[in-house]
Amino acid sequence: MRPLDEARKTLGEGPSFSRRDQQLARLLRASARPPSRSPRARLALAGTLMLLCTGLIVGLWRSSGAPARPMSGMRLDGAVTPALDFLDGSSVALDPSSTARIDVVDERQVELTIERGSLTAHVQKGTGRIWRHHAGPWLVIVRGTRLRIGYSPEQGQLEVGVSEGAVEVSGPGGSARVEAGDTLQRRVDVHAGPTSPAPPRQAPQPTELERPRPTRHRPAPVAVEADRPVSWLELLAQGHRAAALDEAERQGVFSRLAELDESVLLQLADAARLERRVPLARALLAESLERGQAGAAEAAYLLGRLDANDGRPEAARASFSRALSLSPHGPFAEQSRGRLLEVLLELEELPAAREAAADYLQNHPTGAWAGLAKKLAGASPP
Amino acid sequence: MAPVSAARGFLQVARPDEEAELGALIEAVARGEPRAISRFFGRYQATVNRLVWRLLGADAAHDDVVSVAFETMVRRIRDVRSPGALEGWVRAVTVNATRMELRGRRWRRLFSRSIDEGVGLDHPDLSVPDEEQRERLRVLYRALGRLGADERQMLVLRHLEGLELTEVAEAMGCSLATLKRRLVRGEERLATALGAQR
Repeated sequence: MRPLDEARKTLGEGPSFSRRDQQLARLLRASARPPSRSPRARLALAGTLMLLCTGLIVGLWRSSGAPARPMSGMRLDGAVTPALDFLDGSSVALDPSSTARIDVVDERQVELTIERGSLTAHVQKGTGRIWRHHAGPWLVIVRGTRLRIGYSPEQGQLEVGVSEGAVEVSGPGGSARVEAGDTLQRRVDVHAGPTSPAPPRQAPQPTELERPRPTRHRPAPVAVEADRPVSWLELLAQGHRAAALDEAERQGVFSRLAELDESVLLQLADAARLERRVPLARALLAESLERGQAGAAEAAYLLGRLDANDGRPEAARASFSRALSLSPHGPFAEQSRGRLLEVLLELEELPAAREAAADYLQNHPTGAWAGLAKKLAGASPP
Repeated sequence: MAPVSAARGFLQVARPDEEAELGALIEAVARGEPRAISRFFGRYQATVNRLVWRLLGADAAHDDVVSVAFETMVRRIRDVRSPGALEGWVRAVTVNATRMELRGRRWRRLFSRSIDEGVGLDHPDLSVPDEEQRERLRVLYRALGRLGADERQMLVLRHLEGLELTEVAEAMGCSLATLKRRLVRGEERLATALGAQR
């Protein structure tokens, strides 16, 4: 079959490695569940608690005004996850008593937050990715190096040791470049002073460099019924999407969406989207969008994807535009601009498409849709 | 681009020392250890991505299908009969995840004309600058879209992925005789569909 032989050469081996890293992050997020221990009741309880804690942390973090992330909130515990390997050859290894969180994995960046303890990172050179390590009020930016970062929120102390390459450290104490063989120590007084009013269990006062911390009250996720051995939340955490949706429906969860935490809402929407329960996915995303919180731009973007897949380019156009107006420079901005470009082409609205192409190139000159945008922006009007 | 023989490397049966390593990996993945899941993904992501990429044709649903496949594998990894069977099992799960997507798409197409069965030529990760090649690819995947999910998969696995008949039969979960019969029918239908577009 000659056409198929030729297609092998034309199609190649598959998508980019950055896309595959996103797949890995998604898999790890979906696989987050308690270890398989007996008895079953203990397993169910542990799973529920873990999900509730993770949901609460992610929810609180999102509610604090931080932008929604495509791959957010994956927690690393040195006792459970000593190390993580990335497909581009980079790796992160945590000391046993350390905890960290991977906030973003995408084509251009990896962002992780060291909550406490130490980690060793090997960041592969030449991938074009920037790694940002947040540690309390400090930010360590890395482009390709080997380094060790230690952070103690109780003592307000940061230590960065570089064994290869160089890194940039910003935050209290000013900016500094740390090169191979050097170690930088920084400290803030966590008990007194203008930069450290926080109690010992909290991180020092945020600076402009720090991601905002959760402070506001958030409604708790829907409570799990105590007499049910397996809840829809557990099923969702274990990747049983269809069963989780069925169980949630049986419990009437979808008739009281207002009670759901936003992070749970988006997880349910994701499950409904993947299970092709489009009306339900729409309802969940619409609820998130209506709240106008940190996840609203993500919800608008995903609604646009559903609209585009359903052959509703006009609606998709409105959704992607809404996502951009909610967060013009957020993590979904590039994809929203790119998809908007596609639907405008589908609608054959060339002047608007050219305008969108120019906007895309201005904001993402080397982005995934840059080739298409350049063609459009360069095309003369009819 | 990897030659077909390299693309088929994952089909080799594991050696005894590899078997022990794979057995440990399976156990660790079954326990839900993130690092093991990460290693498992690293080991098989190329195979799964390539299969889905070719079966669907650089489709917008690519990442979703890959995710469904890997989530299924992690959840059901204890189904693997032996470490030596892991690679074939990975391929079978991937084929099944793609089959579900293709079948769902056929149903959705009954209600919406807008479901495009063609190749994703505008996919950000696909670069086909030659216009004639683009057109041939478009014609091929439109023709494949007219076939049933099983026929499409058999043809792609056999002719695009370059697998042996026994390997295709294993992935599709059918007998060799059934595969041969359906391949012949599929090739005829594909030729007809291709001819109809010219």
